[in-house]
Amino acid sequence: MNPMLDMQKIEKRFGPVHALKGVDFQVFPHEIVGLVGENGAGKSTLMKVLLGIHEKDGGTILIDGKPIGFSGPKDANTHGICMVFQEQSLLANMAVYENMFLGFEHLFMKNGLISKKKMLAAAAEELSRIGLMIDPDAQISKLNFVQRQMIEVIRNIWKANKSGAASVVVALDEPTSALGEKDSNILFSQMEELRKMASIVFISHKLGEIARMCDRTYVLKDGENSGVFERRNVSEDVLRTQMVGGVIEGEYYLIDQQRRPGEKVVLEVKNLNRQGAFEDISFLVHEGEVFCISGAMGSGKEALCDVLYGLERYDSGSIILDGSAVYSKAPNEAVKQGIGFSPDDRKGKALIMGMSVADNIAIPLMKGVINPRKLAEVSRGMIDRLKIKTPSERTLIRNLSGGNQQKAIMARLMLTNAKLVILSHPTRGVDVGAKREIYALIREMARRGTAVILMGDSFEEDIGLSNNIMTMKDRRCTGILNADDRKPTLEEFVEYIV
Amino acid sequence: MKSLDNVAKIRNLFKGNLQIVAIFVLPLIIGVFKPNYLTLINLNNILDLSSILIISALGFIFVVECGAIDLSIEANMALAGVVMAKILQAYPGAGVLAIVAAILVSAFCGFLNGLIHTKFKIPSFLTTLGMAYISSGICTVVTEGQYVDIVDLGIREIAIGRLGGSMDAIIPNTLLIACAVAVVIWFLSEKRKHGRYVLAVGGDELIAKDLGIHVDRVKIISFAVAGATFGLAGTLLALKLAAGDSFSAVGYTFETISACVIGGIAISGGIGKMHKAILGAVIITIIRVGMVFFVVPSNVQAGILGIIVILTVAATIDRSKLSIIK
Repeated sequence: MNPMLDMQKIEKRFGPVHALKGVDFQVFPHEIVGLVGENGAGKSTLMKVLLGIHEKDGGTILIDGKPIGFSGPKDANTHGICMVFQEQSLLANMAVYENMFLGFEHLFMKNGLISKKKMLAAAAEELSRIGLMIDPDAQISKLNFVQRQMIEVIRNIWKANKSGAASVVVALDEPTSALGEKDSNILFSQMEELRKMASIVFISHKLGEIARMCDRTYVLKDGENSGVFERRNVSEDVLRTQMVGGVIEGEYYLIDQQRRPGEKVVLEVKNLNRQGAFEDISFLVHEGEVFCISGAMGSGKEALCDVLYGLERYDSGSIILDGSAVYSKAPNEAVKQGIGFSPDDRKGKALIMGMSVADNIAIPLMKGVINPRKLAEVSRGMIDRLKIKTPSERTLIRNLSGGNQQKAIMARLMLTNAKLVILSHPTRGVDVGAKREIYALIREMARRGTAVILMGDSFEEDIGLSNNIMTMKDRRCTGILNADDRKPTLEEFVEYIV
Repeated sequence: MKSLDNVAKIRNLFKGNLQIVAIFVLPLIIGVFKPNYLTLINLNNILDLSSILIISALGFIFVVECGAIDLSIEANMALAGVVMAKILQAYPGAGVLAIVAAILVSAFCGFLNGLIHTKFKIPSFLTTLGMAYISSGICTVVTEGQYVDIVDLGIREIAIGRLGGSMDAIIPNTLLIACAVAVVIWFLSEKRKHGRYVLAVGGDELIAKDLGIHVDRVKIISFAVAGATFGLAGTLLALKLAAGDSFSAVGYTFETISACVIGGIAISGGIGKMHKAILGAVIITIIRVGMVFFVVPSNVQAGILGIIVILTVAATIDRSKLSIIK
């Protein structure tokens, strides 16, 4: 069988940077292909070359055996190549059917007028092709993330078919990074439906999902093919090793740097309740402790962290910080009391994208009369110390990779000298190398005596990093496991969660 | 839970139709104190007076839905009135052609608004505010600050006449014209691409652009359509007043925007239904005429209207979805 998409020896240079060094990439019909690699390994450059966003410096792209090159995403789409990004391109204020056919209304005319009926019927048909139970007249804003993602995929396939593309490749960029396990599974079952109509390129940092879903997986490292794995030969460990080049598990989470927590209790939570969110939660966090709260989506852990930081109210119980009861009604009070927070949505909730790296780091120092030179100096110090990769401290934070953005948030938290730091998914959407650096920062925070509450991006992360783990299930605490002397195994751990 | 559902349902029903409720309840309340308010002649008068506001609000909808704003409404209206009056003065037989010419001039002003806003990337409020001053200036120069009288009673009949010609007839011509405009706007928004593209641009310009929509063109058309309706409203107003002048339309910018806001159209763009603008325009006129019955001085009227608009927004806005206010 011939590949429908065949990229051969693709070369790309950005000035002195050799981003792609002769990369090969093939997609066969009805195949799910994984694409993994650290940030900077060349995944997104490869995809942008494919879509025509970047011009390639060498190599060939063949579609159904014919050489081709695209002028941009729109051109690529008409030839059956499309990409769905994490930042979705749907109009939330409009209906499903309007979104699906926007720009193609002329295909649904009746007597020279747009026929809503025709559009609705066509939309319903497209949705039913992959078994999506969505009212085509529903407003996009009423749908959840997975549903929106699917609608975008269907829209792309529909457009490609309309333009006469014989075969379609849909690339999904980190489709599960914002999803819980349940939603991810829904997405996966829909991907199985989708592959009947199109081939799928699945780009993700979640190696377990890649191993599970993909027929073949390409691993890129430093702009080169580092390996291609058939489904039967692949596992999360194989991929991780291939990506970073052989890192041992224990070393990965820097367990040798783990210290026993101090005696002093920093945070005491007693019988905390919030109706519909969590019930009867009690725990202690000590100086220098990494305390993980672990559980599936909907277990109540997110709501608990929101309450601790004052984003949400609680109904009963008490929160005692450093010996005195607190009731933060708003984040600014929490900050005053010495609580720092790194939310999971770092672009939307933690960083001001239009401000420089330096200003984002130095926000806690901005009070009274501001001395810009001093702020820049402090930020520069933090950038050096945390090895934040940025052209300069004046670069806008939006131009940094996810890992470096997270490090900037960590730098900011370190400047506040908070007694308690709450980290929600600090490694979400971050490549393996940057993950390790973030782990090192968490270790450093603990070493300096900060109490850290962590909600990791995977259970392995929770186990690997923590002194103690509180497990939650169905809004209740199911146990507090000690991970100081011996790390619980994943099997032991999962019992408490599922 | 079930009773809760019902409460929510009733609340939603009430919320969705608050404007319709207001249209029936407000006159009754005023009528309790001033029985004359409820006479057929006065209700008729309200319909007549709302018509001009309905026309300008209908055109304004597309601009708001795009997420833009037009502050040149009253200036554009005045310009149309002056242009028409001047043409009628110079060519007394011009008749309806004078109205058409005035509308075209206004549409061109709207087109310029859109062109400057999109091509030079100047925020719409600034562009249109500037254009407002330019057209006001032109008006004042052309009229030398005087009224330009319209003496042709035949042509004035379009704005002051009633269906069937008799002054006792119930339906004013202006209302018929407003209905015609409503049909055109409905057609553009529901049956042509324009309505969907406008919502797409108001929803997210960048996405709309990515989907291949000519964002600039959509905006320019919206401003031009708005300009045309302001022109029509302006000529009707001038015909009613029997003169065109620079200041006759003062207050219409605020009232048009208020009609949309009170009607429940999101000023931030992306959301809107044309019937809401119509309801808003009628409500504003009901209140205005009511204040005349209570002999509220006109300066105070403007202040009260301002308070009402702010209170309406404060009372009806869904704050749970708003985290950033600009």
